[in-house]
Amino acid sequence: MPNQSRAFSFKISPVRAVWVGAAFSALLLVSTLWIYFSVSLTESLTPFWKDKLLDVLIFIPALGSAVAGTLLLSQFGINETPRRVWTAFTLGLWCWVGGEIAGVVNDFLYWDSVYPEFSVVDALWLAGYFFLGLSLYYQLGIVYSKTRARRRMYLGLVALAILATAALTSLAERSGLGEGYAWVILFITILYPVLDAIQGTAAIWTSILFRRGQWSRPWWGLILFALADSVDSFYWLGGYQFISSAAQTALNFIAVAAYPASYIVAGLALLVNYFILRYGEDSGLVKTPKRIMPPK
Amino acid sequence: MTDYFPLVERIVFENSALDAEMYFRGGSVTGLSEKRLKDGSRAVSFFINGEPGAAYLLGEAGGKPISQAEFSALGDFHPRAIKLPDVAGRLLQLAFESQAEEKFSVAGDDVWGELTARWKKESKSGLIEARLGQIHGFSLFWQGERQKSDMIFSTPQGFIGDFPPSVSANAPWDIVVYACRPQTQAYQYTVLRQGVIRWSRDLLARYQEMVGQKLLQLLNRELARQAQPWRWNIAFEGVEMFDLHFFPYLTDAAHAYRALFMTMGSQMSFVIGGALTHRLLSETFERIFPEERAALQSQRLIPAAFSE
Repeated sequence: MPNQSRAFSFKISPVRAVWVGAAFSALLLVSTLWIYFSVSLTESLTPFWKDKLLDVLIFIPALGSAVAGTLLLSQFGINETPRRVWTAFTLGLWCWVGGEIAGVVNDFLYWDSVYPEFSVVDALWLAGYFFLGLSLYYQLGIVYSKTRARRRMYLGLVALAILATAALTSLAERSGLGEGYAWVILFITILYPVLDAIQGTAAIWTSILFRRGQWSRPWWGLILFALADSVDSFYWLGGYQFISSAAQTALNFIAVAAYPASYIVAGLALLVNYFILRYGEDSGLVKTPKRIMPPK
Repeated sequence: MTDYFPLVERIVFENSALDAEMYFRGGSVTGLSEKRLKDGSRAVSFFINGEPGAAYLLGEAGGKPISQAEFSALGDFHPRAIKLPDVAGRLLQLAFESQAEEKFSVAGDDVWGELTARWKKESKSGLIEARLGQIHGFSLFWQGERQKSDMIFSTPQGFIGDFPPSVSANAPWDIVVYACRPQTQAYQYTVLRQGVIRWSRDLLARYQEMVGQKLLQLLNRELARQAQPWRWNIAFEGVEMFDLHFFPYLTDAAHAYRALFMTMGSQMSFVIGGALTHRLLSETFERIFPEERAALQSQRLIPAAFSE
């Protein structure tokens, strides 16, 4: 019988590697929160260097998740259907890693001057949304049969998102938001929360569909990302001034924690899935089904 | 009436049918004990993995089931005892419980090709017995298709699970086409088995589409671990299930299939979640033939039983 048993020897077992990764991630998250909220650090560091320190702490899980996605991708054959789901997902993560780097470069270039209205940062973020959205589309396409009607529905939703963004942009322009910016720049700015809402909803839908299945866990990262961004969108729309200071602190905390946590959750889930694919039951990460044994 | 699988070496016993029984039981093997009666008819008794199975009194109209006690009481102190692969045993039993409806000869590839094309067009389900000299075997056609798990031929090289290469020569094959009797256990077992094979194939194919080949291999290894302690001769390769086991009773078969589907459901739930597992089980269950679905339902082999 093929594939009966394979034995792997590990310098560090996959279970331990995941635990080390989780502990390191927790440390990064706590450090991020501490740096953001620490008063003493604010006094001893300039805002620029505090911001850069936070950038580095966010960049590490971002890079980690993209690397984990790449590792997972290496486990699929070239013609396997799930490969395209995880190719798109990983490309999306790499685009966002690029966006994080480009953001730091922009800070170095424009910290004391005016940032460009549209830069490579926006291009990379939007490319990231495109690929992550594509991976969701592929994933849902595998679950549901790919009929022409469904494809039309998907394209209809995309068109609806663009039209809704355009309508919101015009509305924002009339209310004086983004004064001095070109219409297209305002459109892109509003596109972010719209894409967040769509992607977040689709990711929640996928997660509900998979329930607690191991395979769905990388999508949990996207849900957290949408959560973090929704707080930013709320602030951008002027919500900051309508809430109490305690609520502001709570929302800040959610946004600051959820952003790196989105990369961490996606990265750890991708890493676990990689180990399961690479080492199978030897990874120690697979729940063994209860076997029915013959009577003795 | 000619022998079944005449190329199979007869097991020689010093003392009667009792030795044959001890041989089959001791080795936990499948085989056949065949008695020639004074009136020219014959009686056969199956041993299925060491356990006594059904016995038949054979006549021109097919096999009449008799009890093991009746078989033991029949005179012939030197029965022919042969060891058989499980597939040969279960197809032979299906032949005994079916009605021969056509007998003819087929020579050459072209005629044989036309015949199988016609059966495919008609979505024929039935058992084919083919004999060419000493070469003898059976092939189950199900919904017009030859079934890989239900085809066996005894040849000078031993048993093979395909038509022997000499089928392409011009020597004529003697063919008997059996029409199955729906009320018999052998037929119900066949329908159940075909339903399980089809359902598992569709289910595993959808699972592979969703998670890829490696996780499917992981599941196949788990299924092998479930089958191993029971010594079920059932293997999974890719999305295909090769059921080469001969279960003496329908309930035994249902028990084995239930355990295997529970393993599939459990592992799939871990990977893709319970809801999606249920969806895949239901979606693929709806696609199998109604007769197979009814057989599965009658044994409570249904999607709800295997999703968490």
